[in-house]
Amino acid sequence: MNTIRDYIEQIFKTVPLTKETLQLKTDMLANMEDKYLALKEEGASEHEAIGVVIAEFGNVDELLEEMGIGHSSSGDDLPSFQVMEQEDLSNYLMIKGKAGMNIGLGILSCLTGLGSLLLLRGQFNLRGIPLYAGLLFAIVLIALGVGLFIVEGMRLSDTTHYHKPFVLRDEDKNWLEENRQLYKRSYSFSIVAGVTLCILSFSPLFLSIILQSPRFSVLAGVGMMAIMAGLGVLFFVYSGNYWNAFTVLLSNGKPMETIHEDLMIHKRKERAQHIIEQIYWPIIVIAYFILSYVFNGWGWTWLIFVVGGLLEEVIENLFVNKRA
Amino acid sequence: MISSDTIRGYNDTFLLSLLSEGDSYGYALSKEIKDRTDGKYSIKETTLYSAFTRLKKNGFIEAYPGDETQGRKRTYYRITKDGIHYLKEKQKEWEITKIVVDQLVGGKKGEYYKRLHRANL
Repeated sequence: MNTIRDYIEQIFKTVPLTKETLQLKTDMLANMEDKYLALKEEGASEHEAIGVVIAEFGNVDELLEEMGIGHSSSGDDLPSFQVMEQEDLSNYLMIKGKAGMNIGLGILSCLTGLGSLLLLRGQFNLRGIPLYAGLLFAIVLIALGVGLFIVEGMRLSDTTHYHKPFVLRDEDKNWLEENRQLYKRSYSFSIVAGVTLCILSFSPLFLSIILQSPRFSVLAGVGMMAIMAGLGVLFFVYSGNYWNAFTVLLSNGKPMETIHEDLMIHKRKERAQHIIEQIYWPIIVIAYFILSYVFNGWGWTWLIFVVGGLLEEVIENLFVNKRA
Repeated sequence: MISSDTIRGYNDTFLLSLLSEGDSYGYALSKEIKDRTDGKYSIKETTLYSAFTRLKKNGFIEAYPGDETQGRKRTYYRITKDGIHYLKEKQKEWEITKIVVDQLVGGKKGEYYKRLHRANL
């Protein structure tokens, strides 16, 4: 029995998963198992029964052609696409959540290093060896933070296949939407907490300025501000990254029917962005210098950047919609 | 055993014909084909499902989930009005095809030669 199941799994490996193909797979497997059991009942050996069932399977290309599914071998230079299942989706959510947490911690670490040094220096007027020790401590924390940025940045660069259209089945889409809904409350809480911390972070600074007291220096106020702001940023970065993961998955997850079209649009958009980055902006910079020198118009030529910025969107849309 | 090339154009009609006797599902239909032809023809799995797909697309059959039997849920098929209509046309066509093939491939050569011979005289 397992041989038949494996066989079907193998055959359907290259077939894109849709409601239709999934049903087909289930039906065909049921049929083959029926046939296998019947053969066994007639007295065939396990080996013979499996042999007959597989011999009578036929040619899968015939079937796929009928269903209008481009088999990988036919490859009508249609862009290849991926099907993301629940496992892939949770994987991306996990990576993003972890990256958000670590980048947030990295920022907190940097700011704590800096902040605690300022706090100690401001409050206890460190000199000599204690000052150097504090400095070393700060540098270690900052290095730790930067290390976290690099590690997470590299991890995130491995997730590019989630950033272009992929096939998302209806049930997985619903699953994502449900989970996003569940996360919404924590997200709102985190944003409020982050904003509150960032606003409150100014209070030590203000306090130190108002008090003008030698017992609470402005330097210490700045140090405390840095640490509190770091905590606030941690909330933002973590929840923002996690929330953004849902947005990315839901906006790039497309139904099977339109995946080819979506990939084409994505390709065009990428090309447009490439042109804008490599050609459009350099031209604008050159034009800026030429105009400025020729007309000596340094006072107004900077406006070209404003206009360029406004036109960027228009040009991008021009490229994307053309031949659409 | 019969070559699947010869019979290719008839698979859809076989299935419609069987379904016109009552709703059924994949394995039962392929078993019926094998049994009725005394094992001279057995339809391949992929051929069967290509035919289902085509017939569904043309609106000749409808699929619906059947009750669970032996722990498996089966997809049942039912012939539609259009399907019955198409089957009738195909049955008529077959009557003619049978005669044509028999006249060209079958054992009536003798008559042809007799006529030819007579014409030459």
